[in-house]
Amino acid sequence: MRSKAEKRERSVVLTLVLVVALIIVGAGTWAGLSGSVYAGTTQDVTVNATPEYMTISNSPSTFNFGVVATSSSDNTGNAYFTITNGSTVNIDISIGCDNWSGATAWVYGSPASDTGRLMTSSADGGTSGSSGQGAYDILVADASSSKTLLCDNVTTATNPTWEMELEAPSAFTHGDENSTTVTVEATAE
Amino acid sequence: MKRLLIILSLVGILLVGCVTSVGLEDIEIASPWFTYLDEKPDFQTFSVYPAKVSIGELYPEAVVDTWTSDGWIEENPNYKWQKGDPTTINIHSAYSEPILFVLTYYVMDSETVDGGTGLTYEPAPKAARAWVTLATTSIVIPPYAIAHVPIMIIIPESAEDLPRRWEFRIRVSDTGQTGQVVADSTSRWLITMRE
Repeated sequence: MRSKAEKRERSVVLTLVLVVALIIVGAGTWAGLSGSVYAGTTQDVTVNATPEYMTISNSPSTFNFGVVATSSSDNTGNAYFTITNGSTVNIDISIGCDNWSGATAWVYGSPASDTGRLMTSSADGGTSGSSGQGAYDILVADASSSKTLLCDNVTTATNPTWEMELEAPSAFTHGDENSTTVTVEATAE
Repeated sequence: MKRLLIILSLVGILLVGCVTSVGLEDIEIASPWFTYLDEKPDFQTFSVYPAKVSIGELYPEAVVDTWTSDGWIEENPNYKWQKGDPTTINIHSAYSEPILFVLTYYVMDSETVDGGTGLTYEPAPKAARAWVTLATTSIVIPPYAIAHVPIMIIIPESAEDLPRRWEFRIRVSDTGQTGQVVADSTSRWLITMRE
């Protein structure tokens, strides 16, 4: 038979156990036993997304300048490439490459010994891009730089065309084949 | 009995301390997930949405990881999100086989302009790379599926002298394109700090 004091003490202990259990459950739910939490975006911060998407593809996917002479400027011919643009927002198209590669790689840059670069242009340059078809006025950026703007503010359903020119080295110290991968990139205007 | 009461009290105090000591560094980003579709979309490679995200009133210690309003793209009923959903970069594959996609954070060399508003944005500070977390930087997307890759931004309390407006980009590339000319798409994230 328990006394009143013992019953009261038991009640206090049970209450404390319940409180501690609730704290454990709360901590587990919120923090996780690993200490990680999920959070919502901080109040008053606004996150507005342009409800549109971008999609482009390029054709053809290959080019080959063949055997080139020193200081030559061979090109693909006007409008050799077409970008199929299915974006629902006006886009800019920028262009770059991942430098030269080969058994003995050229340096990517203004023509010099074993140094050459690609130039490009487009009939769809817009205001700030290429000045026009066949101009070869836009440098295809190298891997260390941001891509260069080729086509500015391309409207939806417009499929830009573009062409490319190789500014060959002014001298060769070897005859190894060189190649590169060119990337055209779409970003929202 | 007194000893038991003391132990229980200490346990409670310790747990309270654990809860209140969880900081911004403990915030976990959601995992990527997929929307599976049966039909090939009417483009060749992949699409990326949203094309552009504008975040306003950001400040040190702020967290961005969920949309603050519903979003949808009229041209495609599958391109949508609800307020409170994780903020995501979304990639819809048009390939008929699983393809690896790569997401790359980068910053332009010089200031940029938002064509919609005319506002100018500076390149994101170098430190910002550590503030932006992608749930993954590479993901294999099943045929015709949409991958939803969460992205989270946490500005540390110590951040100072930030530009009023700055931009970073997330480029999406795929390994499905072969050849010497490939096409990427990049989502723009435009940040405006609270004055």
